[in-house]
This record gives sequence, C-alpha cells and structure tokens, in this order.
Amino acid sequence: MANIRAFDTPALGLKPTETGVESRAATARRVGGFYNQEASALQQLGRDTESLGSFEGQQIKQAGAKVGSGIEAAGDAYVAYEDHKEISHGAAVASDMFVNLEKQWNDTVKNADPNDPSVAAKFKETVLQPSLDKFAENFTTENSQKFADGIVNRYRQHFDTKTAADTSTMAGIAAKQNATQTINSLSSAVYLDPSSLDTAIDTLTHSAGHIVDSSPTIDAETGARVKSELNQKGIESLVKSAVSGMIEKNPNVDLDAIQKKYGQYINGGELKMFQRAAQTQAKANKLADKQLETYQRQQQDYAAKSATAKVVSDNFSADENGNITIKPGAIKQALDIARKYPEAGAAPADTMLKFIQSQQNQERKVVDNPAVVTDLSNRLFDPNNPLTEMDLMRASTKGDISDHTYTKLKGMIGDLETSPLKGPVYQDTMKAAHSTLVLTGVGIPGKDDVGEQNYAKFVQSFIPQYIAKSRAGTLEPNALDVKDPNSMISKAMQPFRRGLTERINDYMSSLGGAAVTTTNGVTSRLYGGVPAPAALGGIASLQRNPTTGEWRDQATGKSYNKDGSPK
Amino acid sequence: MVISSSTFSNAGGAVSDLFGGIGDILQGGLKAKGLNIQAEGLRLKATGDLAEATNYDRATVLAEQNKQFTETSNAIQESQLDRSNYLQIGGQQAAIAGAGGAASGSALDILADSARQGALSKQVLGQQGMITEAGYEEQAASYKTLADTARTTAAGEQNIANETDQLAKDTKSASDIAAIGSFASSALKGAAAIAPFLLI
Repeated sequence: MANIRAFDTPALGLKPTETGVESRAATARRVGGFYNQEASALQQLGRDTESLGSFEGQQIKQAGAKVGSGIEAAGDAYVAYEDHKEISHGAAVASDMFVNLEKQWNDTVKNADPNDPSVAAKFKETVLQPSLDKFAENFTTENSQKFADGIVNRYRQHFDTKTAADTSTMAGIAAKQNATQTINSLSSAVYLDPSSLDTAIDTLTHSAGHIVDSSPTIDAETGARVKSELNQKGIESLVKSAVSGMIEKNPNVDLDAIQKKYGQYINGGELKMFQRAAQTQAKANKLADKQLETYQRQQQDYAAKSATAKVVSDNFSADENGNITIKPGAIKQALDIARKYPEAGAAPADTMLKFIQSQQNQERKVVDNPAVVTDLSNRLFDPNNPLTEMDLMRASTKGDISDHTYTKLKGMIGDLETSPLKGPVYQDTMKAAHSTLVLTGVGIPGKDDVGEQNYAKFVQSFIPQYIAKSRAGTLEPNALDVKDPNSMISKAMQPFRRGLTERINDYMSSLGGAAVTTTNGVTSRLYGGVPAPAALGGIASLQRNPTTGEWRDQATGKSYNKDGSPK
Repeated sequence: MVISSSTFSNAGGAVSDLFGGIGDILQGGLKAKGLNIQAEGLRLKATGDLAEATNYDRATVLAEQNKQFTETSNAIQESQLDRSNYLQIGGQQAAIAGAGGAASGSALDILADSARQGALSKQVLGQQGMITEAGYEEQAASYKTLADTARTTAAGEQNIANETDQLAKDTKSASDIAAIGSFASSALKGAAAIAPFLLI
C-alpha cells in the first residue's frame, strides 16, 4: 500500500478583531466628550446670557429707578418751589380779594332794597363766584390748589354766613322801617284821638307779625327779635303818643286810668314827666308866640327903617352948604311906608313927615345944640345904639341940629355903613380922642360944652378924611395913634385942643362959677358950704347929711364916710 | 422756598447716585473682563480640539494603511496556502500513483478530502483577512469621525467664545446705561438739593 500522507490542514478558525470595536467605542466616548465639552460651553454661555439678562435688566431697572427718583426729587423741588411761589403770591391776592369782596358786599347791602330777597344770591352768583373762580385758576400745583380750595371754601362759607346774616339783618331793619311807618301813622292817629289807642295797638300787633312773617330772608331769631321790639316799642310809642295827645288837650288831665291799663308800657314817672313837659310846653308856646310877635315886629321895624332910608336916599339931597332939598314924592312914599308897615312904619313915617314939614318952614333958623351934636356924634360908633337918619330927622325937627350938621352926619352914616368903623379899636380911639378934647371926671358937677362942641367938630372933619384915605388905601399905619403927635388923628385933633386953664374955665362957665371952691389947685363942689371930698367929685347926684356929715349917691344908694371913703 | 428734610435727603441721594454710577461702571467693566477671559478659554479649548482633530486625521490615514497592509498580507498568505495545498495533494497523487493505484476508490477519496481541506483553509484565511481589514476600516472611520467632531466642537466653541465676547460688550453697555442713570439721578437730586439755597 502506498504511503499516502494525510492532508495537513492548518488550524482553522476565524479570530475576530477588536480593533474596530475598540476604536468605535473609544470614538463614541470621545465624541460624547466633545459634545459634553461644547454643551458645557453652551450651558455656560446660556448661564452667562441669563446672568447678563438679569444683570442688564437689573441695571436698566436700576438706571430707570435712579433717573426716576432723580426726576422725582427735581420735580418735588420744582413743585415745592411752585407751591411756595403760588401760595405766597396767592395769600396776598386772597387778602386783597377778601377786602374787595367785603367792600363790594357792603356797598351792595348799602344800596340794596332791603325787601329784595335775591340780593345775596345775586352777589354770590355775579361777584363772589367769578372772583373765587378767577382766583383758583392761578394755582397749578396740587398743594397750591389745595391752598386755593381752602381759601375758596373759607370765603364761600364766610360769605354764606355773612350774606345770610346781613340779609336777615337788612330784612329786619326793613321790617322795622315798614313797621315804623305804621307806628308813626298810628301814633299820629292816637295823638289826635287818644280814644283809638286800643284799636291802634291791635292794628300794630297784627301788622308787625305779618310784616316779619312775610319776609323771605329774615331768619327766625331776627324775626322774633324784630317782632318783640316792634310790639314793645311800638305799643310804648302809641301809648305815649296817646298820653301826649291827652295832655295836649288838657295839661292837667288825670292819668291814673292810663297808668293802670297800660302800666307795662308807661310808668308813673314818665306820665308825670309828660305832664310836666306838657305844662312847660304850654308856657313855652306862649313865649314862642310872644317871641314870634316880637320878631315879626322887629322885622317890620327893620323893613320900615330900610324903606325909610331908601325914601331918604332917593328924595333927600343937600347942596355944598348943607341946605336940604326934598322931592315932593317923599311925602307919598313916607305915607306908603306907614300903610305897608302899620305897626313899625308909623313912627318913621311920622318922623319923616314932621321933618319935611319943619324943612318947609322958611323962617326956620336952627343952630346946633352942642350936647345933642356930641351925643349924635358919639353914637356914630356905638354898636348898641347906632345913630340913624331917623335920629337926625328928630333932632333937626326939634331944632337941635342945623341943616349943615344934619347933612354932614347923614353923610357920615352913609359912609360908615359902607366902611364900618364900629369895632373896638375905633371905639377906644374915639374915646381917647374924646378924653383928650373934653374935660370930664374932674370931681365937681359941670359940663365942658366947648369941649363937646370941639369933639363934634373933630369927628365931623376927621371921619370923612379917614374913610376917604381908607378907601384909597393910603392910610398910614399910625393913623389912629393918639399918642403920636404926627399921626393923622393927632393932627386932626390939634385945632380943637385947649390948655388946662382954658378947659377948666370952660367947664366952670357951665356952672356959673358959684357953687365951687378951689383949694390948692383942686376945684370942689360945695354942699351946704362944705366941699365934696375929691374922691366923690365925679358923682353927679351926690347928697350930704348935714347931721352926720356923711355922703350918699342918690343914683346908686351907696353911702360914704365924711372923708369920702366907702362905708 | 423752604429748606426741609427732603433738601438734605436729595443731597445724600445725589452723592449716593454719583458713587453708584461709578460702581456701575466698575462692576460692568469687571464682569465684561470675566466674560472675555471665559471666551479666551473657549478659544483655547477650540485650538486644542483642532489639534486633536489633526491627530485623528493622521490616525485615520494610518488605519487605512493598516487595512491595505492586511489586504496585501492576506493575498500573500493565500498564495502560500495554495502552494502548500498543491504540494500536499500533489504528494498524495504521487504516492498513489507510485503505489500503482489508480486514481480510484480510496485514493480518490483521499485526494478529494485533501482538496476540500485545502479549499476550506483558503476560505478561512480569506475570511480572516477580511475581518482584519474591516477592523482597520472601522478604526479609520472612527478617527475620521473624531477628527470631524473635534473640528465641529472647535468651531462651536469659537462661536460660543464670540458670543461670550458679545456678552461682555453687552454687559459693559448695560453697566454704562446704569451709570448714566445714576449720574443723571445724581445731577437731578443735586439740583433739587441746591435749588432752595439759590431761590431763597
């Protein structure tokens, strides 16, 4: 048998390799790592983004909050400034507005009809509200508007109260006025007819109630007060008027019945007082009537004198020598005065007619009576008994003054009426001139007729010169200075001055020189051979008691010792 | 104008906001700087990823070369196996023939079995080579995947780094806005605090 070798088969079997598996597994792990790494980065980015988001949001919010708070602070400061400015200015405006509104309301109330109920509402609508609205418009901030609202509310409340009160008061006054008219009418009625007193009281009570109740603006309190006042005072007034009426009719009427019935409105004292007043009034009325009569008489006297003066000025004239010419119409006009003023006109008319009649006497030769001329001259300056033309006419008619003197003094009366020289200065000056020219007060009876004539002549020459210079404005400042030898008055007096001896002789000559004695240069009167004490020399009506040797002034009744001293 | 507690409250607020504004700027700056550093870190990582990808590329090439080497080695081994099989079967034929046997009966069975064993060995050898090639191929594919992933990751990280930088800028801007708000508030409060003194 052939040796056949068996087939040597190598070890068969597939060996799997891990290269790919491990690579893939490692790849898987590494790829996961890569993704994890990126995912981590992404997550970090997400976190950072989220963080940024919140950071950004926070920062923006914070910025907004800060800007907001800044704006708030600035705004608050601005608002505070505006508040302060508007409130400060507003306070001043508010006070001015208050004063204006008060004035406007007071003016409104003053001029309003007290019976008009719409006065307050109209004032509030047309004056108050527009003023308040205009005031409030000027405030723009919350606080200033609150301030303005406060002012507006206060003013509105104030004027609500004030207008209501004033309106009510006004209505009360109106009610009282209305009722007062009723009271006055009723008072007049009861004064004339006191028996109607009860009816008048009923009427007043009824009317007062309705006057008050019908007022739409008067409040209850004011109404009650007004009613009470009207009833109490009104009835008092009526009762007193009635009492006055009774007393007027009979001042001695018995008022006890009135006192009993109306004692709450009038008391006994008042009644007595009324009665006394009525009695006094009755006396006063008599006096008033008499005074009225006197006054009317005085008025008539004055009118008659004026009319007479006019007749004289219209109809009487004089030439350069003082000769008087009278127009024929003067007589009729004098009679007209007598007719027109029967009581006061008769005397001046009579005086004038007698004067005219005496002037018609062609045989009339009149020389001045020095005493009369002196008296008339002195009265030129006498404010209590001034010289009038009537006095001159009477003196002329009696033959005491010449026509020349009449004309001169009449002219001076006219001059002095237009340029009065009747003040104290002229009176004193003329007294001083009189003392200088006329001897008086020498302690013995007698009269310085020559001095009086000289004084009258001085007056008649000086006064016209003085008035002429006065009117021309050329008077010297010392014109009336009697002590200044160069003054106008001293120069005017100069021609009439006399020495002491001459003056005494003139004085003595008026006494005939028998009843006087002179011792040591002093001249005294003799009473029963006894010279009067020098202290009593000036008393004209001196009397001596031959038993006691004492002296007495018969005019005054005063007694004096032997030496002339008062007892 | 009235000087009140709010005047001093405003003054305090102005100072507080002034420093608040400075703080905002500082805080924003530092936060932005932190983010910038973070972005730099990401970029560094990306650089590392790219380096890793390059190595993976080289590993891929090597794996592919291994696959080629395996294929060549397998072909050589198959040739050697074919020769061995031929020698053995040839030997058996020679033995049979030497023995005068005819190629029949048992001899034939032996030869046939040998041929089957040889073929099987060759088939196993070829299969084994293919397994090894598949392993290297898979390895190359894996490295390629790693390289791609590393690049993708690096690119992603680069983007994230850029976005982080943007975040830093945004943070700074936010801080600036806050600072502006603080300064504005400070100015307004300061004005409010001074106003009463100027208006008195």
